[in-house]
Amino acid sequence: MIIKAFAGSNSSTSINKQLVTYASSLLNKDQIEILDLDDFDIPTFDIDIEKEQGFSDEVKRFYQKLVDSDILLISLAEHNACITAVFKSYMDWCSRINYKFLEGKKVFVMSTSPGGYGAKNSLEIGSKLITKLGGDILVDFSLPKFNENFAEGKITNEELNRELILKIDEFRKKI
Amino acid sequence: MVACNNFASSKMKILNKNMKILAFAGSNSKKSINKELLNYTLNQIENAEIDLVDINDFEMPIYSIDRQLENGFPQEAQDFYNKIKDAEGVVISLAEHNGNFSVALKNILDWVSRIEMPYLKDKKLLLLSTSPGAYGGGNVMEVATKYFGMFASGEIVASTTFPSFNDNFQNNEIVNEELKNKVLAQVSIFQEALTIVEA
Repeated sequence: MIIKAFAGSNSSTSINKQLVTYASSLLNKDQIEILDLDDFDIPTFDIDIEKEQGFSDEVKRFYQKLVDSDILLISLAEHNACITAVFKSYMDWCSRINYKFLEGKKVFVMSTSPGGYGAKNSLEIGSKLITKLGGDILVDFSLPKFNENFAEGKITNEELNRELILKIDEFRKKI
Repeated sequence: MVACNNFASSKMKILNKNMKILAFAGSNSKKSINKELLNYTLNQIENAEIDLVDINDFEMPIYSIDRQLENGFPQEAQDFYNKIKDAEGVVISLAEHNGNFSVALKNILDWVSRIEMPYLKDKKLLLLSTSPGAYGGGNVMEVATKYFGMFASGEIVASTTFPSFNDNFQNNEIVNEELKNKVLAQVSIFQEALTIVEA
């Protein structure tokens, strides 16, 4: 089973990257590759660029990373009550190579934000998108008030931590 | 006294005053069908000073907090923000990519929202969307209604989706009578809403 994890964010201090890294450690599988969207140079989706130049090597490289996986852990940052432009752009490009490029992938989707709603708008919109692209979302989790509830690489609020552990267990059973 | 005497004529003047409208299609495609629908719609608006912009002229690196902290706002973000601030009304025709905004538009909105949020306060909006499919961009319309209305605090006074663009729009004209009336009705509502504010 090939497992990959990433945050839907391009921030160098991404709190979603911290969350997805922690969740990956709880899954306790041998090899989980943590991807960073910032390691790929993919511009705003543009149909005219696609028509004139096709898909760039960077788009193909990202696409292949996701296609070559069985399981994905994704934590979605929220900008303007929506998924980030960077995550949306990557998905748009990949969806043009193959619309159902996430077919057969089992997905754990998460979100967190500094606010009390824990980026649930982004979680909802992102989940719809992932499902549309063929992904099979088995479990989701949202962590509110990141700065109060997370420190030194893990969730410090016991109740929320228990919730994530239970959801990871549920996910492990389903995969 | 003078003000009283001039009431009727000043009111007339206000009604004739050109409304300032910012208009753009939410697409970066050269052959955008939303641009076509937008152009048609703008032609139906009277007494307006229309600032029609192409979002391709506001292409910026994808929003990132690191970029903002290192380099501040791109000039394009400032310019777009100023255009919104200068307008009384905004007309947008939304392209749908994967059930949501095009990234080209989302990216501009993300940058602008970091200058000020909510940035559409007191702005009246006419929202359109079209696609080749039968749903006419209904998903992006839903996202946009929530986003522009609730989060960016704009007042969406009129909106309509326009399904099956290629069947219903030909040679710069809406060929489906029912849809044409629908669009014209929304234009009237939008125009009236802007006029009432001025009077």
